[in-house]
Amino acid sequence: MDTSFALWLFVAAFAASALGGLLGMASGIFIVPILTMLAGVDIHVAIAASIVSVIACSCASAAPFLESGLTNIRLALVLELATTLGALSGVLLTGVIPTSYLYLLFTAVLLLSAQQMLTRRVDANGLMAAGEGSLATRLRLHSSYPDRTLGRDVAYQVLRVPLGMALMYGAGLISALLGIGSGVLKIPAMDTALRLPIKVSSATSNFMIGVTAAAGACAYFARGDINAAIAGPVALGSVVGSLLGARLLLGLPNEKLRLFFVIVLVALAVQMLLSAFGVHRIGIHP
Amino acid sequence: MNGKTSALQAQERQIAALLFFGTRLASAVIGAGLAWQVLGSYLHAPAFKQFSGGTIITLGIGIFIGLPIVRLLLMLVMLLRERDYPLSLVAAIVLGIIFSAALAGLRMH
Repeated sequence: MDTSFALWLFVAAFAASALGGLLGMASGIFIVPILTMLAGVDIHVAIAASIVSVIACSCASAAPFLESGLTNIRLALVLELATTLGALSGVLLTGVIPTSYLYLLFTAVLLLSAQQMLTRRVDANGLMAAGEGSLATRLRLHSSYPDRTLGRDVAYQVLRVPLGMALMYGAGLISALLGIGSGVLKIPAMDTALRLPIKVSSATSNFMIGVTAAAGACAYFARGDINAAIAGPVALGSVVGSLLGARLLLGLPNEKLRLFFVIVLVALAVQMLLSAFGVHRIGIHP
Repeated sequence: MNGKTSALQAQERQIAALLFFGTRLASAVIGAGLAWQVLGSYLHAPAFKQFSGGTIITLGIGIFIGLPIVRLLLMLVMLLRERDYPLSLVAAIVLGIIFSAALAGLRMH
C-alpha cells in the first residue's frame, strides 16, 4: 500500500466527516465523489468503502445521543425493518444498474441535499395527536426527551408510521446503492411523516444508519468489494473526524459554512453529472 | 405512557456502552493494521511478509460491520427478557434481512 495515498485518504475522510458533522450531514455523501473524482477509484469500490465509513460514523456518534436520552430506540427498530428491506433491494439492484445511472442518481441526491441545506427544518411535533389504535401506540413508540432549555422532559407522539416506513424503504435502497446514510430521505420521513421533534429525529436517524448500512456492507463484504487499503483509512479518518473535528470547528460561522457546503455540493453534483456522461475525471490519482 | 422508564434508560446506556467500546476497538484494530503496513514498507523484517497489515485492517472493518448486528442481537435479548414479543419479532426479522443481504452478496461473488 502507498503510505502517502493512505494518509491522503485519511485526511480527506477526516475533513469530510468533521465538516459534514458540523452541519448534521453524514460524510458518505462526500466520500464517494472524493474517491471517484479526486482519487480515481472505481465507483463500486468507492461505494463499498463509503458504506463502511457510514457505519463507523453512525456508531461513533450514536453513544452520546443515547446517553443524552434523545434517541428513540424502539422507533428506530421498527423503521429499520423498512430501511434494511430497502437495503436488501439495493444490494440486488447493484449488479443490474449501469454505472452511468449510479452517477446520475448520485447527482440527484447531491442536489437534493444542497436544497435541504438551504431549507430550515420546522418542528411540527404537537400539531397532531396519534389515535389509540395506531401502530405507534400499540408498539409503545411514543416517548419523551430531555429539553435542556426548558429544564424538563418533553413528551412527544409518533405519527403516521406506515408513511414513514415507506420513505425509509427508499432511504435504505439509496443507502445500499450509493454507500451513503440517506439523510436526504430520512429527514423528510422523520420530520414530515412521523412528526418527531428535530433533536429526536436527528439522534434516531443517526442510530438507524449503522444497521441500514450494515445490510449493504455485509453484501459488499461477502462479494469481496471492500478494498481494505481504501476502506480502512477512510473509516478511521471518518471516525476521528466525527469525534474530534466538530469540536475543533465549533468556532466557525455556521451560516457561511452552510453556504460553502451548498456550493461544494452543487460543484460535486456537476462533476458527477459529467462522469455519468463519461467526461474524464479531474484530480489527484494515486 | 409517554415518558421513558428506568428500564429503557438502562437499555440505552448498555447499547451506548457497546457502541462506544466497539467503535474504539474497530478503530484501534484498523489503526494497528495501517501502522503495521507503514512499518512493513520501511522495515523488511520477515514478520511483515508473513502477516499482512491488510488482514488486520480487514478484521477492523469486519468489527465495524458487525457492530450494528451485535447491537441488534443485544436489543433482541433485551426485548425477549421484557417479553415484548411484537418488537422481538421485528428485531429478529431485521437480523434475518441483514443475513439475507449477506447471502445475496455471497451469491453475487
